[in-house]
Amino acid sequence: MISFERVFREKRSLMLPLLIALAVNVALLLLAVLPLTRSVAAEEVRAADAARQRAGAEQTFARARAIVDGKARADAELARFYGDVLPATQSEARSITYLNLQQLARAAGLTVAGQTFDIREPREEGELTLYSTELTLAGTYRGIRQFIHAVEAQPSFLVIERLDLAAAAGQDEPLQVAVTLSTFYRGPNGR
Amino acid sequence: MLKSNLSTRPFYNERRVHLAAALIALIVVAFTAWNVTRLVTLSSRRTELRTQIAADEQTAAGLREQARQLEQSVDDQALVLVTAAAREANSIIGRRTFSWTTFFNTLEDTLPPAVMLSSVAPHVENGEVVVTMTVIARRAEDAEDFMAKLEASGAFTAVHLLNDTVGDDGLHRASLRGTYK
Repeated sequence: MISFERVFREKRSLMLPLLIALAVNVALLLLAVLPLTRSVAAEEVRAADAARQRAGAEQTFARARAIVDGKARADAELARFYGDVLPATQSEARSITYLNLQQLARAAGLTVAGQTFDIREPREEGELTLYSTELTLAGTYRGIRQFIHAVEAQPSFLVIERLDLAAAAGQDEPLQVAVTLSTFYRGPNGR
Repeated sequence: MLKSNLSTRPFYNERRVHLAAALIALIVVAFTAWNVTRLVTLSSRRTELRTQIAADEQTAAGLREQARQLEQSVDDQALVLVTAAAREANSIIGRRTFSWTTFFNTLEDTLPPAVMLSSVAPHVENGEVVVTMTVIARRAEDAEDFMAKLEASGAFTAVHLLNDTVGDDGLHRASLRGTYK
């Protein structure tokens, strides 16, 4: 049996460089490759954390941008609504709820038995002033429907809030109906 | 023929030793190549990750700063006011868009002959139009029939009775409400 020791001794010039190279490689693995592997794994965790923080910051920014854009859009739409759709003043509100409605009622063949008005001032800053009227009408069912359709079809901003019908006293008696309508306007100083 | 080996240091098979040495050399070369490749790859990956982390952290800080500036540019009080104003505007627009003409068409299709509409008032609740009605009916069955027909028409859901008072004339005065579609 040939001993390894003898072979190593006799082939030292061949074996020693190989063993040294192997040892260097093992040392490289233990001292460089493995620590670097652990370091990269830690950096991966940090990178994932940084990506999450970036995504969170993007969401925060998007929310802030949405608030600013939404407010600007709401301001513009509200200004258009207050300026173009609603009556601008109390006089305009009166005009569309008084003469305008009485003319529509007469055009529908109804008799105006009376009309009352009420103004409710805003309770909170920024709210609109409510201008409401109750119109008591008498006439046929067809006339009442025609009046309601005319109110709905006209461009003035009028909301029919409530209808109260009184039973006709007799077959030939006209229907009596109390119609509550409202409009809104922005008072002075935005109230 | 002499079969004994009289040598004190017998020969061994040099070829096998060289083969083993070549094998070890091959392993060393492969190991070295793997080590070097891993070192280069990992170093490159670490540099890439550090660059990415720095970029992400910088972007996040920039975005947070921009968000802070945007939030500072909006007056909280003004935001509350515009939100309330938008809610109020949406509510009255919702009331304005309620079509009484369509509503009366539905009523004409569903109102039994023994029931008469006395009052009607729509209002907006949580974005839905809720209609409260008072009807005068000869019998409770007629009021029930009317509510069933309203729901069957598909124009109303969740129609329910609020109260029913029977007058001296024997007529039922029933208040009901339902969600109008």
